[in-house]
Amino acid sequence: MNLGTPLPEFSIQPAVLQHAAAIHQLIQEADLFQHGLDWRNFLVALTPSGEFIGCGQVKQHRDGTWELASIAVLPAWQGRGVGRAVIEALLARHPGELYLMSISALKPLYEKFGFVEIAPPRSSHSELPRNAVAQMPKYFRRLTRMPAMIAEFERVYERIMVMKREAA
Amino acid sequence: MKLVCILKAAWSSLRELPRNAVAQMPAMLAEFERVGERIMVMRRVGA
Repeated sequence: MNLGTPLPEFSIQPAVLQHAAAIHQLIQEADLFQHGLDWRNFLVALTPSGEFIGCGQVKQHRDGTWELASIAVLPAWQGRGVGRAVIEALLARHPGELYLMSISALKPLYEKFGFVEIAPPRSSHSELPRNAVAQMPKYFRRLTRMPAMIAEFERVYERIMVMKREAA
Repeated sequence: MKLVCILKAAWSSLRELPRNAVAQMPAMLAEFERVGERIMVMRRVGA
């Protein structure tokens, strides 16, 4: 009878090419952003038998900033610390400044890892306060302005109409 | 998370944006506001 330390349920490892398809599939099923999924940026969570169960990455943007992104876990493995382990491993590999973009429901989760929200807008439609905009790198600044831009386009579009006058 | 995806896709490559993505956005924004949800950007200062 073995009374030693139980085997870990999963391990976190750098992704290899053979994980690329599983990463894409999981990100798609999780409804996450599907661009910028270079497997070389990913860490993956694997069972002792090598089964892929989760992933996450840190990727660099053109403005030089780094983003924590694509954190996803298979539904059957959610709630078992896989996502947390992936995030911890990614943060250990990238100790410098990091950004992330998420829905506000996940704020408590990311605060546990030392992330601080950049001054929140009043709502999705609202323009961000100027001090918040000034704190954001270019990539995130433009992204967060888009909802207000789209809302404005929609407002303007509602005033456009096509009319016709029948010939006499 | 879908709205975050659409925003990123719109910014990254307008040509690759799903045709209905921008059309969906106003309704999604309204739904986000209805349930008190919003998109946030967070920063972690380097160690």
